[in-house]
Amino acid sequence: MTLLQLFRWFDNTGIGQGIRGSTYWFPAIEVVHLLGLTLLYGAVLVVDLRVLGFGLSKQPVHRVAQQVTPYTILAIVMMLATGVPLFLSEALKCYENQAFWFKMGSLLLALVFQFTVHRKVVKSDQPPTAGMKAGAVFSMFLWLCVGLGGRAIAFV
Amino acid sequence: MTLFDICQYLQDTNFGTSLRESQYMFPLVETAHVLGLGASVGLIIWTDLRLIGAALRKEPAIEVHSQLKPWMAAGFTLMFISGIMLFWSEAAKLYNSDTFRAKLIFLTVAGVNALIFETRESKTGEVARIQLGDLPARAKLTGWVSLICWIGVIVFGRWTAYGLK
Repeated sequence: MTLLQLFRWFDNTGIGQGIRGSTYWFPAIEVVHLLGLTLLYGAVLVVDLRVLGFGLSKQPVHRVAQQVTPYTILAIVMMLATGVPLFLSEALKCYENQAFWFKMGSLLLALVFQFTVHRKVVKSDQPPTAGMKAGAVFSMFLWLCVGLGGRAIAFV
Repeated sequence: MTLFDICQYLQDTNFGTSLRESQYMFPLVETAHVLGLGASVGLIIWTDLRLIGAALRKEPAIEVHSQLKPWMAAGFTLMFISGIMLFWSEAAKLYNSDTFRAKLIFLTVAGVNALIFETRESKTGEVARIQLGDLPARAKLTGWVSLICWIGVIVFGRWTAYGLK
């Protein structure tokens, strides 16, 4: 099975066809996707700004991260749970869309970075080092790429 | 001159027309609007969640609010300027949009709610006195109203772009 055949199969799923055939399903699901993005960007900003010494700078990094992380995970779950049906409804369009592949590449990197390096960085109870600060900047950059790529799917 | 005439005039200006018809500028301004949303509402949420007692309970609410405020304001400025530009380019169309009207109502209530909170807090200092855990019912109400209003702004804002009635 080629990738194109797989995407054709995605496009033909009942969920994909159902969303495509309705005026309201796509906007309804996409708005939850956007609410998830707002929650995610806020959570990422609070933690990464803190690592850089901004925002909640009077509180220790690990204490901020510990309290924010459940919401980061909630936001990621919201985005995946709504992103998958949105994708199914236009899988063939996505297959030929460069912004979609850019977004997926960035997303994969962002998720791996978030749950490996970033997770370790924000657990530290020491003042952030230059390396940790670089990690925070990289984390914001990756999520920015995901957002820009996502927005661009509709425009390219 | 009616409000609609003003909207039509704005939309027909050189600035409005060229933005609306531009292949790159309109998407770029719209993207700035979404990113500004992430930074402003994304951060406002944290004050709201602290006020209702759902997150950051180990930190004083007033600290959360005051430390995040400059960043919220930066995001809000980006969102506001890009929002004015988007409105300018489609003002007459938006005048007739029910979803846009709903968005403006939620936005106004969110603004008034924040203003009431700031005014009351500067007089009573009731939130500033509390270091940890639960806040007075009035402060919780502020948080809930803000959360609901911003969800309303986002939902109706997105639907306005789809041209849903």
